[in-house]
Amino acid sequence: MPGREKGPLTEPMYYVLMSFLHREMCGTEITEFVEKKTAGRVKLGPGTLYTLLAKFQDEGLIAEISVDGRRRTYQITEKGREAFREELDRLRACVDNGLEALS
Amino acid sequence: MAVKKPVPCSIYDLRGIQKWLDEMARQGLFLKQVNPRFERAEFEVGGPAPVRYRLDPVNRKGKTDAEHIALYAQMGWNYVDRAGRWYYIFSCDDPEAPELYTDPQSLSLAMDSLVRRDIRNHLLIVLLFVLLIPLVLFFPTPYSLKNLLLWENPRDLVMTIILFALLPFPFAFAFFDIRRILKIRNTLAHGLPLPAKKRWNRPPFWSWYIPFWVILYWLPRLILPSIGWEVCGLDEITPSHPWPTAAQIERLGACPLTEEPVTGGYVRLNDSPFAPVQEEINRHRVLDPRDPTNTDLHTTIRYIRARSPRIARRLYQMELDQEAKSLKSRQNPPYAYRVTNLTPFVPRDWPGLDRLEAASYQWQEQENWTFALLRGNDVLLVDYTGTARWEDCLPLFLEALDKEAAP
Repeated sequence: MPGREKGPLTEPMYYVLMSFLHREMCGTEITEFVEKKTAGRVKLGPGTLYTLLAKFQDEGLIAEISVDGRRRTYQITEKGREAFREELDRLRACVDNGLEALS
Repeated sequence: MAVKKPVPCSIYDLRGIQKWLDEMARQGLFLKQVNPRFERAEFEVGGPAPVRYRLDPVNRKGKTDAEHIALYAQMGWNYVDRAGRWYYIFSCDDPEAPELYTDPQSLSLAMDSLVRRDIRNHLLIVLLFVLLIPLVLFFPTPYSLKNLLLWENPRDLVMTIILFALLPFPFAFAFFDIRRILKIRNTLAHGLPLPAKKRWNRPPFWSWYIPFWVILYWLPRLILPSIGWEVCGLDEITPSHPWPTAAQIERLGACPLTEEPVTGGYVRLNDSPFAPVQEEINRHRVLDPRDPTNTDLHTTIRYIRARSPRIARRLYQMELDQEAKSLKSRQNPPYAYRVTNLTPFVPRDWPGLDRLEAASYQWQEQENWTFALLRGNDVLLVDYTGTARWEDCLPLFLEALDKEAAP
């Protein structure tokens, strides 16, 4: 199944997609995950987070699985996993190329 | 206490608006609400505080406003107001809370539907104007065409011309606005921050609205009359031609007059580049000088000399159509004195005339007829109440038409 067709992911997109790899998440959990994972380097404002979630939903990378009051929980789809893998391969290639150039 | 201030930045200058609202808060003015066009902001006065204000483009799909507001509140951003169809405005007094949008690309994505919507609206307006122009130019209503040829209502005409002259402005406005919106979106999509702009980059509403109305509405009123016609008494002017008098016409009827009767009425005069001579003589016999309504032998002579035979043909047809329509409608309510026994206009042959049509009818129990003739540049319509026949009177009018009135 092909992953994301619309070019490489930005850093916030990458980490938001990564947050779903092991379990479903809601908005505040994603923010905490990303901040913890990047040691505070990447912060997600509410506008950024909910814009990305809406976009990923539109592209079929994540799916809403439950709504509990104002808490919406999402999980990654197979297409989302594929998109993440593709991005990871791209980044790995970038890093390899950089290391090669340095050595 | 509330303070109102005009918003000094364009609605597309997100950074400018946010910076301005932040500055206001540092001066102790906290945004309370904005008007739907996002031109004026109302502030509450309080102690100065470093409150941040941020704009969130309206584009939420499948989420209600309440849900959206609650989600943001969880992360420290409180809803203030909605600025029309463009933005939600949020404020945050926690200096530790992350920005509403922490990267430009996500803001670019959030602006996407706003950008598409605004571009679509601009293009629709342009399309509307593009469709409207040929509609006005190539399918003019009989009224507007007649007004153009005869200048009966010069003010309407000038206002239409001014409106056309102002047409490029909405196009220019749409073009520059679309360019500006796309530039903002592209800047954000490339991960770049929006540039800071000079304050007051938004012209106040009155700066274009007042000149627009002065030019379009008030200027024509100041320099032009609403009605082009000039009205004067029968004896105040010399007609363009020595039209037959009441006695001359009645001599051909069943009740000839021995001398010229006392007549009342008025003359309407006008001119235009397309029809330099326009004259309408409304004349009647006054039966009782103490009662100005007690009249008979009504005659209306409407004469137009057009600039060219082509214009004359067009004017002839318009005048004929209008007269035919008027006679037809006067057969029915709400007219108290109705037209009866109407024989509509029938084309007739007459030597030397390009066109001739005549109609007859009864009105107020009197015999009436109307004829319309076209000869070269001349258009003549005569409406008559009396006993003479139109066929007998026509040579009198043709004779007058051949002569110019003595100055």
